[in-house]
Amino acid sequence: MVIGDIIRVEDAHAYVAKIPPDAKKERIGSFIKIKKDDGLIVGVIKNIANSIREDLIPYIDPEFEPKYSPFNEDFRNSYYIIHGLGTICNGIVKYDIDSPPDVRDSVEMLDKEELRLFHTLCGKPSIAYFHSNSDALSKNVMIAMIDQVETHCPECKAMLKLVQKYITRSL
Amino acid sequence: MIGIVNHSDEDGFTFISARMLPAGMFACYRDEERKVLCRVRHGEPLKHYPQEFLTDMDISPDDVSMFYGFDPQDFKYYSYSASVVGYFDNVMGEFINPRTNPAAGVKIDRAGEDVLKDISKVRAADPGSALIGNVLGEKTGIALSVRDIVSQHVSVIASTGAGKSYTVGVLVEELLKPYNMAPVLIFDPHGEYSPLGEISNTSEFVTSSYRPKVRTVKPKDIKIRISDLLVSDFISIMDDGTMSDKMKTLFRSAYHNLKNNSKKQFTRAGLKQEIEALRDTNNESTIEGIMWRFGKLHASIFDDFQTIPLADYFKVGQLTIMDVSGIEETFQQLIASVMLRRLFDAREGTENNRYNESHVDKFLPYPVFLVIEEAHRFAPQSGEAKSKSILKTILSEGRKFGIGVCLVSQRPSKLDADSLSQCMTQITMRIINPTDQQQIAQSIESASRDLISELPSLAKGQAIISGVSINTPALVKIRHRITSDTKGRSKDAPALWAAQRKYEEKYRAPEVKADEEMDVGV
Repeated sequence: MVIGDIIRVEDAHAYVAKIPPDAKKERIGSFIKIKKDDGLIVGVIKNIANSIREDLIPYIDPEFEPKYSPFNEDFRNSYYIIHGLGTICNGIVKYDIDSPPDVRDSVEMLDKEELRLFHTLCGKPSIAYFHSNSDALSKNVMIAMIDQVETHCPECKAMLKLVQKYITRSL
Repeated sequence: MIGIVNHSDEDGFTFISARMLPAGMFACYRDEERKVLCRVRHGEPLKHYPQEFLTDMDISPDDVSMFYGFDPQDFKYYSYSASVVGYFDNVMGEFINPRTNPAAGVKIDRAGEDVLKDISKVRAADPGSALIGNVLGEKTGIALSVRDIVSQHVSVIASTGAGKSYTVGVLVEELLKPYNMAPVLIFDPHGEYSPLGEISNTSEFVTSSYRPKVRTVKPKDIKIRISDLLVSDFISIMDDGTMSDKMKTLFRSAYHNLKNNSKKQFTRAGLKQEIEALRDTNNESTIEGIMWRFGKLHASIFDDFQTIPLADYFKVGQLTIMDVSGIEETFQQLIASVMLRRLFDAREGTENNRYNESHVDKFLPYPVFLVIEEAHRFAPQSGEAKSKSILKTILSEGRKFGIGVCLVSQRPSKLDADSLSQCMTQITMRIINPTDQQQIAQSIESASRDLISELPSLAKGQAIISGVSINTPALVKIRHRITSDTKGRSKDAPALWAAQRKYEEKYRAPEVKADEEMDVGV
């Protein structure tokens, strides 16, 4: 299920995706994927930004906004601020991104199997990208990510608990 | 290579290493062509595990670190602080501190035999050497300079069970080796040094021309000659707190009259006569009081003629063990006092040509070495001991006259601080009591104070040796004793109880059982 389209790529790890109008918004901390060549870029919704067309709105009465606004679809805009975490390519997981997505690439939710695969490195459960991305992600985002990993990878619950405590204290 | 220098400051330098290195270990680095010896002070992990990762006993911190994205190897590095000892100058015969620290990036190596050998002032088994043990964790032997030990004294300080008597045994063995042949006397308040008697018959000590003698003097054979006592000794023996000033004055008069009559040696009867001679109508009761107290001088330890035969006790290549166990502590102090006074007089008189071969038992033409066990009894920090004054004199002036003293104690804080500080070589073993540690810290050279924190963690038989008889303080594993050490060991109480029970079962009639006893009662 497509939840947005990339409209801006800041760098290899930072993208902005526009949320379709009236689409249900996913939660911050949700894992997403962006198809790229033969594989996937896996990322996380780091934040959601809402904006309006500042140049038009001050002059239109809210009651008449739909009537007079020529770009009604873009009138209220919402964006996912996405942070890229790594890639899955032919079943191989890498916690690094050497080629960012393109503008207009679709953003989808990462499904359960893909989430498990992304959190398995050399046959062992891993969230090793946490450490290298800890400066870029807020505490709440990371804790939300932990909750999801815990749901889909219950075998590493004990270690996730320790990591969660660490993040809560130190970040 | 064991590490790389990180940074340096006025306290020394730090280096990073992937190895766990013990505090006190020696390392070295190259400065031009010289190898500079350094001492590791303490180390700590360069990076700590997040404390949360250490709270689940079922999960290894490495596993959770790796899971989170840390490299577990990052936690395996240590940062060590170290201090520069110096490079060895063959001409000066000592370590010279270059007064610079190694630059960042300089490689630190483990100090090898080629560097560690210079810690000892003398080579093992050379004349004047005492191989006391090895540098802790290394094979390099540590040999103390006997010349420095004898001229500037040594202390052996350790809490009970740390191997104090064992170490003294090793030192004495070395002194009796054919390359030293020292005259040694042990003042032994516990009678624990008798196994050193094996020295006479052990091949390591015997050559075709030399066989050390060991003489053990039993308590019953130790006598104090009355005329060797000072007036203060007499008064302290007689005074139980009730001796009046008048009595003391009269006694002093009698004593000095006797001495002034040029009777250098006198008997109890002679002294009694002098006291009686002072009797008049005004002092009848005082004289009676002195006479009544004079009875204390008839204790078996006092004798009119027999004394401590110095020349017999101090012979080259002879160990004399003065076993004073079972003798009352005040008498032990008195024996020590008399012996030390006579020894000091003999050495001082011989050195100053007052005595010659015609002065029997006073002519002592060579340096001697004396071990005083439980030294805090003989030179206490607080309170009085009859032996304290002469012991302090010997410790401060003995150097000139060749009287080497080894003070042995388990309570340095109870040992007179001046006496302890006169011991210029210190063998310090495990000490747990903080007051004792403080006392040691005050009495030893500053270079070894870094090692003081190691004192509580030293294992049995490990010691910090510092002072003039070694080129730099070192942690040392005391070598194995050649003679047995059974007497000094702690008793294995459970094993002895079991043995006793077996013995009783074998040789005694079965005892009445408790239930049978109850039947009788019922």
